[in-house]
This record gives sequence, structure tokens and C-alpha cells, in this order.
Amino acid sequence: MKKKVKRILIVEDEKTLALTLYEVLFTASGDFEIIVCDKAEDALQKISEKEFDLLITDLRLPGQIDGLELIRRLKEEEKRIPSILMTAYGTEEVREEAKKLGVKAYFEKPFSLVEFIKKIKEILDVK
Amino acid sequence: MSIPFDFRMQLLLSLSREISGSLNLPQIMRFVKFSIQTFISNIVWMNIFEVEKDKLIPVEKEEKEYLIKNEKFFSELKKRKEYIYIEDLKEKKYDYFPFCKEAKSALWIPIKRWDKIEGLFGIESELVKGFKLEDVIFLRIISDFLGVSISNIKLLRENEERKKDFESAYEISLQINKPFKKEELVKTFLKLISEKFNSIYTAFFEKQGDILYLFDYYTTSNKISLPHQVLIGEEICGKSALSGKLIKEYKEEAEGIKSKMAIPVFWKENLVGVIEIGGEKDFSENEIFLANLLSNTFSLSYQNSKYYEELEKYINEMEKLVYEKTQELIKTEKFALIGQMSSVVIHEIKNLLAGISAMAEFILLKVPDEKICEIAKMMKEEVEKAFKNLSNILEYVKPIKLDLKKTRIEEVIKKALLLSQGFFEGKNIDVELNFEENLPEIVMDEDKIKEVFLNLISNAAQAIESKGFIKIRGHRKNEFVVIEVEDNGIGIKKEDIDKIFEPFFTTKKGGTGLGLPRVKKILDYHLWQISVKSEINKGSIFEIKIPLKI
Repeated sequence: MKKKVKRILIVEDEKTLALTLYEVLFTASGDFEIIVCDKAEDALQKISEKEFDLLITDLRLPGQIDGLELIRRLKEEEKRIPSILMTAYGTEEVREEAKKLGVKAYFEKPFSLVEFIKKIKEILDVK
Repeated sequence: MSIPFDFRMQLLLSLSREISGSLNLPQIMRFVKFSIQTFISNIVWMNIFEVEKDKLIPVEKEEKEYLIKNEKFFSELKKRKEYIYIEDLKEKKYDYFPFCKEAKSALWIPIKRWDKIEGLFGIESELVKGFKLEDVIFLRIISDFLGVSISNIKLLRENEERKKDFESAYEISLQINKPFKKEELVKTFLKLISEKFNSIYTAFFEKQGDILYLFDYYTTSNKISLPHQVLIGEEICGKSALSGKLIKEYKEEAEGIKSKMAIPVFWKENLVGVIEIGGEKDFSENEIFLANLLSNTFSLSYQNSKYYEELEKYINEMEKLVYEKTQELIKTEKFALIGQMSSVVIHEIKNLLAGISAMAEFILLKVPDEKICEIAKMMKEEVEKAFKNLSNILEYVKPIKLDLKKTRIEEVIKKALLLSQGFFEGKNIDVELNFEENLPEIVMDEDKIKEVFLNLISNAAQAIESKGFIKIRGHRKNEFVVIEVEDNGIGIKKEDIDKIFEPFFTTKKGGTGLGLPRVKKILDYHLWQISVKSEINKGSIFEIKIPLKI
């Protein structure tokens, strides 16, 4: 049986981080299709077009919608995509809100890439 | 030759008119002289003397030296109270008696008014027994006229003087009734008094408890030395303070001082001090009156100056407070703005750093070249350091939200002490906790206050190089609980003490300079006060004052 390709959407406006995450996932042992965008609005568009297995989003994003709002909207639209939230603005409130919205993992910047990949593999159940 | 009776009467009548109509003694003198010479012949000398404080002042000035020194004569005259008629000056028993060369007999009549000797009337004749009984009677009548006249003149003169005194008292009161400071007022007053009384020195002693302290003095001599303090009851000013009355002394002292006067100064029946005046002549009744009057005026101005000073002090304090509060507000406003700005900037940097950190790790993971990996590792470590610093700053600049609860401060400090154990490692530090029993519970944000003590205790431990002590004490003082954290470490330089609560000031290697500012900020939010006493190489004491009533 052919292994199913896992599709991951990264929403991150910080180009270096976006590129690094793309590269690290691309070269990781796993069959991933990675799509990167820098705005929540674009992410919503992409999600409406394709199905995704994982959403990795930054909290603060350019445009009207931030990471948490993006996750909230997806939840409201009953699009159950597991999500990971990254932020440099880590506060208790954000952590609480993320937990409420069922965010699978919460990464405060800067974080370890090794930990990060480990978590992704865990969520997507790949080895 | 006998003068007809009616002529005598006529002469007396015109004399009485002349005497009562004039207030000019030399003019009266001239008229009396003329009348007597026409009435009694062979007169060789005649003069009128005014009695002023046991001194004789001649109306015709050239006679001054002639009589003034002859005290024996004057006391003889006072003893008798009646006239002295010396029929023959050759008699030995009158050898003290002053007389002119040509005189053979002399008649001295005291000029009296209500039994008080106001003057003397002296006449000398070139004949032995130069005065007949009727002459004596005639001259005594004239002397009675003169008594009325002299006493009137004296009264008038006194009135004039008193008027002048009132005027000068008014002048002085005008000059001292200004918004003076106490020192200025006293200086001005002493100078004015000194000029008015022609004194050698004028001093003001201020009462404090049982002691009069020399406040200031004015002197025309550079040799005057006054005691710095006088006990009440001692010396003239102390006696005056004790009795509450003006005291006058007349005795010769150094520097030409012959008389002294001490005047108590009262405010609402309370003695505030004593004015002491030293002069070269005895003080007159008028001067005493004036001194009392001026003491009252002075007391009023003195009290005003004290009120004025208090008011000025109060205004200054208020101004200072307003200034400080304004500065604090400006600082807080500025700080809030800087806080907001830095928060944005810091997050931007953190975001960027996150990218760099991830890239460095990516290299570490993917590149087999050891050298490159070494560099990537260093990059990652540096970025992490930068991150830590940024987080500290962020923590400091963001506003504090307090979660207030009533808590026992001793317990919070004990928890902080446990958390700071890491800083004690490798050192021999005795920790002593000493809290007064029954300290009240205090409203605070426990976590934040724990952070404060963690900071203070770890600072104290860091200040101790290898061996020392940390003493933490807590006690109640009036409406405050006071907590002290003392160490015997390296201490803080005097010039640094004011800066230790300013952000980014640090003397510690690798310190961010945000520890104590954070402490201060947390305490400010609690409205608690912190102060520090420190001595280099001896140690520091941080004192926190916690108000129980806000």
C-alpha cells in the first residue's frame, strides 16, 4: 500500500523561519507535502482548496487575522485540522486560549528544531 | 536803700507773669537776673541749676565745671531741703562750698515742686551778710515760681521725648513688620535698637527649654564677647527671663559698659526670649518704657517671621512634592510609552532571532562539516543569550498586574529563601531570620513579593565573596511593618547608591541591571517603600517599609 502523503500548511511571515521549517520538514524522514504562506487570509483560501493534515501557524501575522483567530475560524467551520501554534509573544493568556481551541502543540520562539519535528511526527503519527 | 513795698509787689507780679508765660529757661534766667539785680545790690554771681538724676545742670552753661563735681555740697543741700544762707564764706565749716572769688556771702535755695527738688537757685554777694530777711523771702517766692516753671518745662520735655519715642517705636515697628525670615528680622531689629538706644551691644537670646541661647547680637565694639547660652535665673537676661520683667543694672564693666537692661519677649504669655542692651549711660524712664513697647512689637514680628518661615517651608515642601510627583508622572508616562515601544521592538527581534536560531540548528542537523557545526553551535548559543536578555527586559517593561491577597510576609520570605539556595552554593553564609511575633497579615501579590525577596536575598548572597551572614528582620513600627535584609558583603559605592534602582545600571558581571529596578517597580505598585544603607566592604541593609493603612 502506498504511503499517504501528509500535507502540512505553514503560516509564517518571518521568511528565515518559514524557509528553515520548510527545509527541515522537506528533508525529514517522512512523506510531507509542505505549503507555506505568510498570511492567515491566504491560509484560509488554501484550506478551502485542499485538505491539510496539519496547520503550523505563527501567532502574530500580517493582515487582519492572527494565528489564534485562524484556528478559531477553522474550528467554527468544523474543519478539524490539527494545529501547532508558534509565538514570540508567549503569555499565560495565549497559552490558555490555545489550549481551549484544542491546539496540539505550543512552541515559544526560539524552539529546538529536533523537538519540533518530533512533535510533528507524533501528531501525524509517522515514524 | 529800701525798695518800696508796692514796687516789690509789682516786680513779683511781672516776674510771675514772665516765668509762667515762658518755657524757655535761659530767657527766664535773664529776666530773673535782671529783676534781682535791681532789687538786691552787690550781687556778684547768680545761676539756676536744673536737677537731673542727681546731677546739676546749669542754665548758664559756663558754670558747669564749677558745681557739678561738688557732691558733698549737693547732698548737704538735699539733707536740709531748706535754703542755705552762709553769711560769711570765710568760716571754715563751709570750705567745701563752691563760690566765686569776689563772694563774701551766699544764699542757696532749692527749687521745689511738690516736695521734689527740681533745681537750685544760687546767689552770691560781695558783702558779708549780703542778704536781708526780706531778700530771702523775696528770693524764695521767686524760687517757687521757678519750681512751677521748671517742672512744667520738664513735663513738656518728657512729653516731647515720649512723642519721639512713640514715633521711633512706630518707625521701628514699620521697619520690622515685613515678611522677614527670623534671622533677618532679628538682625534688623537689633541694629535699629542699637541705634535708638546708642548701645554698645544689643543681643537677642532665644529661649529653648531652660536655656537662653544667644541668637544674634549687634555691637559697635569689636571686643564684646557674649555667652552663647545662659541658664534661666542666671545673669541679667536669665533673671529677666525668670521674673518675666525688665531688669536694669548699673555697674561699670569692661569695654565702657556701665549699664545693662534685659527685656523679656513674650508671645501669648509664653516667654520666647530676652533682649539685652548694654550701654555707657544709665537708661532713662523713657527708654525703659520704649524698650518694653518695642519688645511687644518685636514679639509680634518674631512670631510672624516664624509663621512666615513655616509657611515658606511648607510651600517649599509642597513645591518639591509637586515637582517630584510631576517628574514621577512624566517618568511613568515615558516609561509606559518606552515599555510599549520596546515590547513591539523586542518581539520583532525575537521573531527574527527565532529564524536565525532555527537556521543554526538546521545547519547543525544537516551539515556534516565539524567546523561549520561549531560555528552554528556558537550562533545558536549567542542567539539564546540574546533571547534571555530580551525576555528580562520585556518582563521589566511590561506593566505589572497585582493579584492581591492577605498573606504572612514571614512565610513569603521563607519561600524566597528556599528558592535562592542556588546562590549559596560554594559559600559559607549564615542566614538569620528574626521576625517579631504577631506580625499582621499583609495584603500583597505573593508571587511578586517572593520575587522581590528572591532578588534581594540572591543579591546579598552574591555580595558575599566566601564567608558571611545574611540577616532578615521584621518588626512593626507604628503604622508600618519594616523588613530589613542585611548582609556583610562587598557593599555599594556611595556614588552608586542612587543609581541601583535605575534600569540597566549594573556592577555585576553579566548582570542585566534589571533586578533591583524590577524590585522597585513591584514595591511601587504595592505602595511599599524601599531604601538602602550601605558601606563599601562592610555590607548593605535594604529596608522595606510596608504601610498597614493605605
